[in-house]
Amino acid sequence: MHQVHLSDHNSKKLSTVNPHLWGFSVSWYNYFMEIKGDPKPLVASMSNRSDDIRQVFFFERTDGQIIACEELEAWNLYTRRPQILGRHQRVEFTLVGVGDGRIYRDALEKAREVGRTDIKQAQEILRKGQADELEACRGKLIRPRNMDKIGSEEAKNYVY
Amino acid sequence: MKFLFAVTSDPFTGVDLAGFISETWTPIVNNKTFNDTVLANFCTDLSMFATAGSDIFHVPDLYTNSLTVGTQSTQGAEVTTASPAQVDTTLTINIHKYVAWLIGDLDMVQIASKYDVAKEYADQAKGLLAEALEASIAGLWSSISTNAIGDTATVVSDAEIRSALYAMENQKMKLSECAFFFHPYVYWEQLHAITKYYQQYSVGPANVAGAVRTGNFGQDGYVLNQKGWLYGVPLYTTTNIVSGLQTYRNLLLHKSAFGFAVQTMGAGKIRATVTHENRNIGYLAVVDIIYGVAVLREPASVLINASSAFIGS
Repeated sequence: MHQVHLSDHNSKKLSTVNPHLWGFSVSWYNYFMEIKGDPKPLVASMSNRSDDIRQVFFFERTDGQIIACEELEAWNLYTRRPQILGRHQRVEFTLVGVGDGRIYRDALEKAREVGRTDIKQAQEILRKGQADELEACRGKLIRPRNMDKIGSEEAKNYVY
Repeated sequence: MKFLFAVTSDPFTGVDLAGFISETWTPIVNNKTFNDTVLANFCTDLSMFATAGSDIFHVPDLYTNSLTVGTQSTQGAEVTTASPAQVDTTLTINIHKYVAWLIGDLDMVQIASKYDVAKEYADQAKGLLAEALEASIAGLWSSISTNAIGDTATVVSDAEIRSALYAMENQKMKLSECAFFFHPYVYWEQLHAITKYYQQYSVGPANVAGAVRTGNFGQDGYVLNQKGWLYGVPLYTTTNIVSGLQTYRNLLLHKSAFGFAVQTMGAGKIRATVTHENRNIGYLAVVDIIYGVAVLREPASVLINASSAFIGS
């Protein structure tokens, strides 16, 4: 089906085609339906957010899946606070490594470069970055700071 | 003539008039802002069962192991009975969070009377503790294993949304009892890049529910922070959605998936007390909440990972 992007539609169609000038009434809703056709496929670009990649804590779940989280969540998992599936199905979380996020940050920078032309490859770079970060820090165990101490420097410095 | 006008060349300056220029503290106070309590408003609330004590609350699970259908292939034959083992799912109340502050009598008596400092900070403390409860519920994402969609490099597209809905319906959950919870980044930067969610030709007339309610949020949307609907399922946003390695852990939840219970002393969910402490010669304020959270029905939840490294466009 013929597809016209919104920008094209605005710049060309709306400025030159006015159904009211044709002597009959067409609702804009129907008008758009005829012109637009299939939805525009999703296109992604890289975000320029300069997020501070912080320390990353990797936990292994009972089912073997690895999850990555930041320090506040790591503290909750470390202290076994979340109530997971009740008493008899409790999922245990084991801290398997703590990374400084540097490898992932490098991967992110590289992905930003590549992402200008190839988003798919940028995604693969990020996935590999996370896997590499885990492998590099596996076995390096650092207890997350106590995030329950109200007014403590640890809690103060944590940016939610 | 010049000398006559020279007198006006030395007007008063602000510095000269410092003794008369006043300063006014307005009654307007810019308070801290908070998310609406969208998760606690939606998930199963067991608080009503916690008023008479107890620390552990059982919600028997009959769905993991269910009855089975037999076929009577030989008429008159003895039936085979089923005895599925029940699963005991529990919620434990074990979290006690508080915010406290102390203001000495000297400072208290000198604070301008137009300001109700105790109330302003009590409101802020209540907001903080409500957010703590919300964050605890959102933190339950880490136990979701049955239905997980996307990874650290996923840009949420319509395919992820439909996969999430399919996963939920495949668990035989009623979609009319489900809701999406997205981080605002994902909502604005990725979901709204999906043309079918906002183009009138696919959403339909303006009075049909879309990702944005009737073109703007409307009064109800502001109150509930419900942004709109995706395929008829309400969509909420909150910054309490957990992030790790630039990946937001968005959720599609059935109301039975996550549960919580608040057991704060007194009648309310959050208690605020202010007492004068002679030992400190000041006013001690403590605002606290006692609660627990749990995954009650894990297959009734879908984790939708989304990377914040990408913008849909």
